Amino acid sequence: MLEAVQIVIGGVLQGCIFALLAIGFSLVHRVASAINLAQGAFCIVAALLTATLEQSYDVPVMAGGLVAVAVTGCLAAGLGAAVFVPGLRRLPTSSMFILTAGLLTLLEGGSLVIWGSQSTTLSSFSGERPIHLAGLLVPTQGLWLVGLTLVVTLVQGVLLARTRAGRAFRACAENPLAASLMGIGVGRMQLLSFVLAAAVGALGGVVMGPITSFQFDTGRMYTIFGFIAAVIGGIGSPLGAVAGGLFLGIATQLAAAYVSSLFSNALALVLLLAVLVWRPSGLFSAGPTRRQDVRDEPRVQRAVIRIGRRQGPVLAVIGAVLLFAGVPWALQGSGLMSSAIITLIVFVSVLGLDVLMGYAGQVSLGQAGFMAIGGYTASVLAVQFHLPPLLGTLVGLAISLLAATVMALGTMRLRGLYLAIATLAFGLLVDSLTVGLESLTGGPSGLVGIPPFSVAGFRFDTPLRAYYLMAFVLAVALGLLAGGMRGSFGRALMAIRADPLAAAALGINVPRHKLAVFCISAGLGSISGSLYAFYFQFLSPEMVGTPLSLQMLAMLVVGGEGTLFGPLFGVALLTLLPTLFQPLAQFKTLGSGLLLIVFSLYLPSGIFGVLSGDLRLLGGRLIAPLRVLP
Amino acid sequence: MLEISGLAAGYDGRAVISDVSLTVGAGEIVALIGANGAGKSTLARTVSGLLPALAGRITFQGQDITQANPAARVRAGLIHVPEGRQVFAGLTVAENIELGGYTLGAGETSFEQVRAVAARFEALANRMGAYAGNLSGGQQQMLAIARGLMARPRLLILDEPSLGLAPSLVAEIFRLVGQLRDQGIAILLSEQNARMSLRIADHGVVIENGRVVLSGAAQAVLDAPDIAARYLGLDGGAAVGGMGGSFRARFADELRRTARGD
Repeated sequence: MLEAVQIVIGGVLQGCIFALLAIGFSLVHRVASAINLAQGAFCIVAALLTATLEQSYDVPVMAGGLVAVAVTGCLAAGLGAAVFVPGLRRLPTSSMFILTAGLLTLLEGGSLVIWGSQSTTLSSFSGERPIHLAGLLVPTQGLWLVGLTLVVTLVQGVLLARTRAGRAFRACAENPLAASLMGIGVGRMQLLSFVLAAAVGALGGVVMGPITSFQFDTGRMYTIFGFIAAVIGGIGSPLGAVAGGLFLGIATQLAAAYVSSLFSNALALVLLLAVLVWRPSGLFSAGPTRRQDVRDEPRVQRAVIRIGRRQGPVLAVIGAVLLFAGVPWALQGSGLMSSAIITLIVFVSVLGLDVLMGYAGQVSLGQAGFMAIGGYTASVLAVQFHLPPLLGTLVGLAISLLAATVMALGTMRLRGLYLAIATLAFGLLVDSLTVGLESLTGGPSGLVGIPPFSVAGFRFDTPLRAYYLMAFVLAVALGLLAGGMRGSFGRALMAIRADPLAAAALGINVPRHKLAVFCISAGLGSISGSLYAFYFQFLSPEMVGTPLSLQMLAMLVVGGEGTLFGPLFGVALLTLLPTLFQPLAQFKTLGSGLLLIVFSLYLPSGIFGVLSGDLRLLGGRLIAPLRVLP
Repeated sequence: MLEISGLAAGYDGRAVISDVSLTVGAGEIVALIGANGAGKSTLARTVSGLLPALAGRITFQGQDITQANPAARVRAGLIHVPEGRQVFAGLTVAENIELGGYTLGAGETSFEQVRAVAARFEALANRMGAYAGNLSGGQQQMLAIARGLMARPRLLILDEPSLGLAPSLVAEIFRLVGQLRDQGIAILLSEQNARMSLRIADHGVVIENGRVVLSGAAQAVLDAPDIAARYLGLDGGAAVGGMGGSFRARFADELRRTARGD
């Protein structure tokens, strides 16, 4: 019994951190109707800053913490004014996800450059000795944390419900246009909420610093769990944020203690999925449910990029020649060959993401989950049961399609934000399974001894063979998709993206199309994952984890979504750059965050959009001589 | 009170309205008449500062406000009640009205103030705690106007207040507009319901393809032959007291165009 209470105390402390983050999410969502995925990163920036002040400059931890919170607040103000608020003005909600994922990556990358990858910790505010209370141990820092959570909860509760500023905050989220007609400075309110949320996160980071260890990328974990807590509690509801945080903290600690520490995350995710499916607005919903996301309406627009009917085939032939002859000839034997192969493998998966997001407008943060299913199924079958790789790939594909079907049916009612969370939860669930099922997958250290891909005894074991295998798979996938997207299926998807209700009114079977597109996307991810494992002959959870999902999102946006071919540029850029600039490896994360922000804010049609004018011109020039012929 | 001269504005740098000049005097109603897409809402949004002016000048009570932000214009007493009501659906009626007085400061938006404004609207007075999103269309329009009144307007821009409302509600809105004028609030009334708005207005301004094509005393605009045919219906629309006049006008216009074959 005592032990259980001790565990619950641990859960409450954990829950306080989640609650603080969830409050930040709620605050930003209340004002801006957007999710700020960079939330957790501010926590870690403040904690790392305090650690530096404490360890290198002998500043007392509390004073250092206050300085760090102030600095983090200023940093948030700068990022908010330069990135977040301009983004709100011109991007639809789904792109705000990508933009703030960019901010998260940017902050992580910056932290990596400044502080390196070592993990560190802070010293307690009031001594390291825990308090003994009826046989229970409570770290004094825990009391600080609980106190901070209480204060923040009260202050923001009063701020939102009782003050003029609180009502103005809500007005901004409800209807920014009308709010500005009331004389409310909408941009300023949005910035204020962003900075306040970051400051709350920073405070949380400094106060929890002494009871945990952290490094540059711990923020990602806090973002995810804070976000889950906010959703379980009901996003936008201040009380819900706290309840969700505590619930999540206690549940995961109990699961870790009594079931298995490896599956405690899985439990959190199952809880989240259950809440999403049965009560999408959370346990404590805020205000009446909105029938439609008003904010989405005026901002759903994108550049239409069309390669002409006659230029198309010419460019396709050029592409095929480059793919099958040019690249292997140019790169054979060089170190870049391996990068080229990885580019093609990942591109297959990103293609799936493009069909899902670019064409059908469904946000997915879990594409790597399908790569993991495909990769692990095929390689486990190959390693443990000696099944031929092709068969394993097909079994992986079947399981992925099954999972996608279940996902699609379960999340059919969800759109935008909630769908994104559900896919994120799916990806994380797969992550925790690949780590947890140690006897099958080899756990965190990975699965070794995977054979290379082979068909009927022919082994694709040299780089050139592997390259041609991938080029072939890619050409088939691209060919099929290019046909499908140009036809009525693609048009139906774009109609669903623009307005699912109107699409249904036109007689498009929206559920069936969503299911189909989910399956296409999952299938491509699964095949790509299998080939990934067979190429490396090794597979570890981090190779196909959630960070890869986010990176593939960046590749898609940077390349140009909704274009099929465009993402290749994004994949190639983000795969090749780190290889080409090996000495600058530590800047990789920073760079990809920066790219993601710049592209989603200023070049929403991606590299492909920028190039398409030139491509069209090139295609036109090449067919000009043909036109002279009769 | 409000003087607009040579105003051009639009979206993404492309002008939707250009060279628009008009004046609204103190205590006057000026009716802005035009078909769908003529540029009425663009003009309203530019005057309230939601859209930047590409050229021209807007002065309000002698002050040049062309560059002022929406909040400054609200503080000066220039209030825009937007098309399509735009109430805060997730806030209560009382909170909506209170937010209308956001720029006045905390002391001025007491509950009595909110009650006093709401008391003018039968539909709202006993629904103060309801979510605005759950009101009917007519009630939401009343709420939008009440919210505008809370800021103590000197000039009210009403953009399509009768759009999509039942005839009895339309009549009520127009009655209210008349009362507001009698209180000394100047009104720029943008309407497709040309006959009713010209009857109540002091001046009329007709806007077509983003340009002013006719302006003058309301009666003169009402009598202008071309206007009668285009916006008021060929038969004068007497049968239903002017209701649906604009629809009939557009329909007649359409018929004529079809007959001409363009």
